[in-house]
Amino acid sequence: MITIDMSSVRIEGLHSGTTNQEEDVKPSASTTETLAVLHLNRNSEGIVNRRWTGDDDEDEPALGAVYLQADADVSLGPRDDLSKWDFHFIQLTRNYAHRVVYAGRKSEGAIIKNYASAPAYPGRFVDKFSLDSSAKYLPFYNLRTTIGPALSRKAAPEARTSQRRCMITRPAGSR
Amino acid sequence: MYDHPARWIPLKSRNPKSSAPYYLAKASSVFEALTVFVARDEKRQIRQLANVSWSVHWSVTFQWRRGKVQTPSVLPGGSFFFIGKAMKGPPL
Repeated sequence: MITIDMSSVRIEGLHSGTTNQEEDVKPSASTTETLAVLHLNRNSEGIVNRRWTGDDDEDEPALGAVYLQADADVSLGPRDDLSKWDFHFIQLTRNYAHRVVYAGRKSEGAIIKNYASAPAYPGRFVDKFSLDSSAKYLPFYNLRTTIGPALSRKAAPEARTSQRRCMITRPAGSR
Repeated sequence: MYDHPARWIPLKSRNPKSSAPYYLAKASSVFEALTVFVARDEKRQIRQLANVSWSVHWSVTFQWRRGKVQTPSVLPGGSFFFIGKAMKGPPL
């Protein structure tokens, strides 16, 4: 029987690649010729220039600002098949507010637009969390998972039970 | 997983009645995310193993000079990235 060791479950932010550094992902803003772009300071160039479609896993490390990683140790018996299990992230997101103010040069007045409310935003999603996924990953955020080699083989009576670490989101080639 | 929430906003607009040109003066946005580490077993049942919430708040002003936008000012205090403490199990 496949068992997840809940004491080993871990999820952490590794924004700088090695340690938690929230200051490494400050909110930033830039402008192109026609657009203002609100983004995060880390890896922002591709975002400002809209190079990330969100569908290409290869782009993620170079364009991502927030980096989350999770892992868990899993015990399985000789007949268990871990390939029938999935270990992934599910992400829900909410646009809580998105307000812009435009003004004229002198006496032309001003206008406020709220893109997080209807009709700019579909009414049934206003102020609600929505699944952050795409058709090829549903319901997951992506399908990046690493199943590690056996960590240990326990002594009798679980002599045939091996333990593996299931990690997700670790980029290829690291650790 | 990697993520990079962003908002693209037109710099210019027009007065809907007079068609006078309008210039972006301020933008504020709040993005919230709840990220859950899950396992889906062979029966396709999803088990929530751990979760973390995080958010980005932007509050930005734009100055214009002779019809050209200057470098945006990200307002301190009103703009921040927050990541909560990771918790085991499903979100409460």
